[in-house]
Order: sequence, then C-alpha cells, then structure tokens
Amino acid sequence: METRKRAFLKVIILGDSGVGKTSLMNQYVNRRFSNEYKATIGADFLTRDVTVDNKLVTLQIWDTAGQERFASLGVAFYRGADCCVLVYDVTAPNTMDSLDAWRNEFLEQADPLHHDEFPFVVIGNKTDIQAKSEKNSVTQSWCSGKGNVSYFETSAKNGSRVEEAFQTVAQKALEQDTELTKEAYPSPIQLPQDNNKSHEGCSC
Amino acid sequence: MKFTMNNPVHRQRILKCGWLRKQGGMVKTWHRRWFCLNGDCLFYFAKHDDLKPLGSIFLPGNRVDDQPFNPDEPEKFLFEVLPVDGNLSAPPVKGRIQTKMAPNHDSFLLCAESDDERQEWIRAIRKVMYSGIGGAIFGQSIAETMSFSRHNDLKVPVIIRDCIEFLTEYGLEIEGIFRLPGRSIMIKEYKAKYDTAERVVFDISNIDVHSVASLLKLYLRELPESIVPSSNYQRFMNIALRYQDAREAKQKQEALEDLIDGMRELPKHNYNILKYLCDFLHTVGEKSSINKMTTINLATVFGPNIIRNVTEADSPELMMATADLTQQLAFMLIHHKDEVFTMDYDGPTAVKTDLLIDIDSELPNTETLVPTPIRTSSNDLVKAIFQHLDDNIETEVFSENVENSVNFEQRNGKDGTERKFKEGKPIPPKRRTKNGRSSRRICNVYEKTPSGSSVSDDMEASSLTLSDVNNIDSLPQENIASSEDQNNDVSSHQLAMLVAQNKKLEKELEEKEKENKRMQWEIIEAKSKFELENSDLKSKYEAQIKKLMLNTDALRVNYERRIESMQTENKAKVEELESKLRTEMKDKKTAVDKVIELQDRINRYQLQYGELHK
Repeated sequence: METRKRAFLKVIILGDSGVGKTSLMNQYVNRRFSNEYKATIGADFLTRDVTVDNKLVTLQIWDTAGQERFASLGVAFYRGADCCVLVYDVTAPNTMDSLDAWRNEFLEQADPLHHDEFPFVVIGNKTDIQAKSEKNSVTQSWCSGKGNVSYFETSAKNGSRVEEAFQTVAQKALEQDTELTKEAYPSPIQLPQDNNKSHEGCSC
Repeated sequence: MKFTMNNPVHRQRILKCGWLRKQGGMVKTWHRRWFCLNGDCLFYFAKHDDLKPLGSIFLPGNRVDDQPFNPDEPEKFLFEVLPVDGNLSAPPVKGRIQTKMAPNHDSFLLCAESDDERQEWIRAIRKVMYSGIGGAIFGQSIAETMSFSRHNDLKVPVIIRDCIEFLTEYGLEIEGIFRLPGRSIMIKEYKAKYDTAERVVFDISNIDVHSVASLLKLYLRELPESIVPSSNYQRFMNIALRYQDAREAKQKQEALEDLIDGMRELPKHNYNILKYLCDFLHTVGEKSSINKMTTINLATVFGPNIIRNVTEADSPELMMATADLTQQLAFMLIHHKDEVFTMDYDGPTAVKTDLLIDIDSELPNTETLVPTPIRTSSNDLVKAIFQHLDDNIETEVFSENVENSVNFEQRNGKDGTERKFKEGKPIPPKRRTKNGRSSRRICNVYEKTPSGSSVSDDMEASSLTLSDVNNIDSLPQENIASSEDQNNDVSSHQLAMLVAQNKKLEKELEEKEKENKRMQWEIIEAKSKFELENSDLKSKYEAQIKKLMLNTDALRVNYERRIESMQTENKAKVEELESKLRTEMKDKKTAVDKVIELQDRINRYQLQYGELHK
C-alpha cells in the first residue's frame, strides 16, 4: 500500500524577518547552521524525505522572505499547503505578536477548507540565546486558543528540538493531506451484495 | 450619484464615494447611507442617486480614527470622525471650544464592509483634513508631499529626513537594522502622527530603532509609485539584469554607466530622495561588522521598496520573480553611490568623490574600489572570481561571496575590530542543491518550469520585458494545480529534475544565444563595414573609370583628328602619286606611241630604201 504513492506534503514557513526561518529549514534538511547573516530573497524550498507512521513521505518546505514587503505572498505560494509553520524569536517579543497577522494572512490567502482545523505549528526559535521563553505561557495559550496548533521551542543553531518540531509538522501535514484526499475522493459507493447469487444458472 | 455626477464642478472635487453605515446621532441605530467625499465635506444621502444630501460633515479641524476590533462584532469595521479635543484652530462656537460635530452628533461613527475599505476611507478623509498642512503623507505621491511640505529648505520629505537622522544617531550599530521588524503598534502610532501633520520628534526613550526603520520602509512601500517611477521600471530592471548577467568587469561597468545615464531621467525629488537614502544605506553598510547588514542585505531589504511595478500590487508572484533584480539594482545604487549620484539638483556640488571611503568600507568590491588606472591589474582577479562563479549554475553574480577574499588587509584595521576571514580564496557560493535535493529560488522555478517554456523562451538573455514577467502569473497556478492532482511525489521529483536539467540547458542556451547574438552583431558590423568600404571603393573606382573614360575620349578625339589629318595627308599624297603615275603613264604612252611611230617610219624607210645591211 505504501509503495503505491508516496505522500508529497507542502509546508510553508512564515514569520517576521530575522527569526530564523531559513536557519530552521537548513538545520532540519541539511543539519547545518550558518553564522552568515543574510536576508532571504523571495522564497526558497528544500525537500526532505521523512518517515511518519511507517510511511515514507516527502516534505517540501517553503522558506519565505520575512520582510514586510513580502508579507503577502499570494495565493499561488500558499495554495496546496498541508501545514503552516509560524516562527517567532523568543528573544524578540514583538515577533510573537505578529503570529496573529501571519496566521490570518495565510488563512486568507491559502483559504483552506476548514480555517479552524488547518494545522499550524508554532516555533519559538533561538532558545540557545534565551533558554526559557518569557512568553512561553502566552504562546501556549495563544496556541490552545487557535485549535489545531502545536508549540515547540527550538534552536536552529544547536539543533535543539528542531527534529521533533518538524516531525510533528510532517505528522500534521500527512493527516491534513489524507483528510483532504478523503474529502476529494469520498469513499466509493458500496453496491449491495447481489442477492441474485443464489439464483445461479439461467432464470428463464 | 446625481447630486455629484450632474454637476461638473462637484464632480471634479469628488475624492471618494461609497456605501457606509452610519450610526444615528440621537437614536443609536445603524443606517445604510451613500457617502460622498467632496471638497472639504463628507456628504451622505439616503440613496445613491439622491440630489439632496441628508447631511454633511465638515472635515477640516476634526480628526478621524479607526475603532479597535471588537470581538463581539467581528463584522463591523468602524471608524469615527470626531472633534479634536481642545481644538484651538477650530472657530469657537458661542464662546466655547467646539466639542460637537453637529447639533445632533457628538461624533460620526461609521462602519465599512471590510478593513481595506475602512482604511481607504480614513486615508481619503485624512487627505482632506491634513494634506494641505503637510500631513496625509502615507500613500501620497512624492510630488504632492513635497509641494505641501512645511519645510521648504528640505530636499526630501520630512519623514525621511527625521527617520534617517534618528537612525544615523542611534541605529548604525544596531544588529539587523532595517531587517528586523519594529513594533507594529509603535509604527502605527507614528504613522498616524505624520498623517495628521503632527510635529514628530523621535525620542530614543519612546521609540526603538527597528520601529523607526520599519516606519521608513512602510512610507516607501506605501508610496503610490516607488522612488524609481514606473515609467523607468523597464529600463532600470534591464540594467539590473545586465549587471547580474555580466561575466566580465567590463560588462558590469557598461551596465553601471547605463545606470548613471538613467539617473538623469528621474524626477528631481525622486533623485534627491534616492541619493539621500543610498548615501545613508552606504554608511549603514560600512558598519556591517557590527550591525551585520552588508550592502547585499540592505539591498535585499530595500530593493522592492525602491523599485516596483505598479501592477505588482496585484501580483506577488511578479514581485517574487523580480526580487533578485530589485536587489541587484539596490545593490548597484548603494554600492556605487559615488559613481551613480553625480548630479546635485540644488547647490553647486555636494557630491563626494572620495574613494577612500570605499576602501575602508566593509564591502570592498574589486571593480569599484580600485581606481581606474589600476583596474587592469586587478582584472585577472576579477576574472578569476567570476570564472569561479560561472562554474556554479545557481550563483548569483553577486560579489558578496567574494568580499572576504579581497583587500582584507585594508579592512582589518577598521574600527580596531578583528573579523574572521575565511582563508584568502573566494568562498564558493551557497548552493542548496546537495544530495540530489532540489531547491531553487522561486523566481527560477517559474522561469524554468517546463510547462512555462513559452515564458522562458521569451525571456531574452538581455532584455526582460514586462509582459514576459507578467506571464509568470499564470504559471504558479498550473504548477500547484497539478500538485493538487495527487500525482504528487513522482511528478514533483521529476519536475525538480526536469527543472534542474531544463535550467542547465537553458543556461547553456542563454549563453549560446548570447554568443550568437554577439556573433550576429559582429557579422552585421563586418557587413556594414564591408559595405561601407565597398561603396567607398566603388565610388573611387567609378571616379577613376570616369576619369579614364574622359581620357580615352580625349585621346580618341585626338587620334581621330590625327587619323583624319593623316588620311587627308595620305589622300593628297595618293592623289599626287596617282597624278604622277598618270602623267608617267601618259609619258610612257606617248613614248610608246613615238616608238611605234618611229618603228613605223623605219619600216617605211626600209621599204623605200631596202635593207641597209642585206
């Protein structure tokens, strides 16, 4: 069954500039961290294969420019996403405040079937600088108030919890994908077993 | 709209019309009304074609604010026109300060259908209220802002001056200046201050560097036209493309010279703003060892704020697809600011030509730092570097990767700060395609999508036309639509591979095309040269031929004449000889006759006298 079709999952990373979106993606896909300080141009994607529930899936992770100018990436970039990762910087509280705006922007543009059920994963990044987020409880409550949202605190620099965070992303994306497939292709109509079986042979 | 449409005078002054809901003054019920912003007044009508308004709101001297989102009424986007508290400029009514808008309204509470619509109304109303006194600058054209400015001595809008002066004082050493976002509440507050023509003083104890930086970016972003106007969009983007594609320093220099030439086309105010901004950004870049904002980073951040196509608002894809070019352009403007900004609209010369600034900078660039005479010596280095870049398919032809390799001794002394340099050789550009994983900049995806071959084919190596870029619009949809079609993984892998392959081929094709083009040019040149020479020779020969012909003519005439004269001479001679011959013959005849006669006589004598000797 699993060899039939490997799931292909699209994930979008959003968040203010400088919170570490590119670094997170690089840490997860290439297991590398660069000290280079570089603003992202436009958008990039990387892919990584990952096993979820004994199924091999391909994650296509879209990294976006966090500049305000690029805040609205448009329908084309968001459409078909199976999960959205919202990143903020635990050392910069104002980046947490933007989560709402990024979430709304995504929902508005991507316009998934059920806004409240669409899977989000919130990541508070840079725990290597500040071990415990002051906003932890605030973020937690924000997440629980939004429905299908998980929360992780990571460090793209030392790799802490990055793997777990994206494992959850993959998990949620797969669930979303399966659900969508289910809705797109409703279960086939079961024809009632033919009673005529007993009537084998010619009826004439 | 009859009230307005039928009357041309009114029609001219109409700023905005539309349906809004208004809360009643006495009874707080909501009514749908047709609103018309006309001149200084906001009129409202029961129906949109009514002639007589139900009422009007005189705007100047009052203020307008949006009401915070109320979770109980999520569908209401409220804003309120209300008197300024203790407004001294409004005429006192009956000896007291005006606190009511109208006899039956303390204020006007209005409700729009959406937040966008609400912001549009607020902007339009603020324009009426404040633009005359130097406010309402967000979203207002540069020319208008400058004409209403209260600071006649300023060459740039006051908000730009304020922001840059503040940032020069406090921001140069802040990490991630212009990259990191400010606090949105703060930005909104100060935006409102500027829009309401309030006198703004940035105080470091009240506002942080990132908020001011974001405010400046927001102002630029909301301009109806970017600093580089849309009429110059095509030309400047082409220059950026050529600069990006340039393989040799010479081509880069050519593109740069084109840019310098292009600067003349900018309107005065736009030029001044750009110059002022790039001067400042250059200063920021010089401190990149502290603030981490290299010129590249600044260019990435400012590119789309400096130049954008008007239609980009509707097409984020276009913006994304051209992001690397806008970055390239911004880089050129900032990095080469001394070369690019050579004009000065006011005052004789304020242009800095001091190259030392560059040499000390954090971003020494091989091409520009070296003064022209020495440049030849560094050519090899440049070539080597670009050769290196060429080897990588996905490189940006940027010199960021190069920076560390060049002149680093010169930099070490600066600020006494030691920077770690990674060996003395160029650092290979970051490529994301490792281990067969695919990744590329989004613009490339769209340009090189197989299904979009028409787009990429149309994309000529050296000229990016707007229509081509616009085509990109349609592609992502197809792309993603197909990915929705559950043939996900295989097709996507194939797609990625195809894209990579296609890209490689395309690159080759591009090169070939370029070469082809160059050769065509050469042929054309040679041809024209040849033709020129040919026609030169032709005319020369023709002249000679003519001359010769004339000569021959002359000679012929001469000869003919001589022949004629000789003929006549000969004829005469012949006649003479003939006559001589004739006379001779005559003589002979007579002689013969005589001989015959004599013979006859002898015969007769012989008959008469016999033979003498017989």
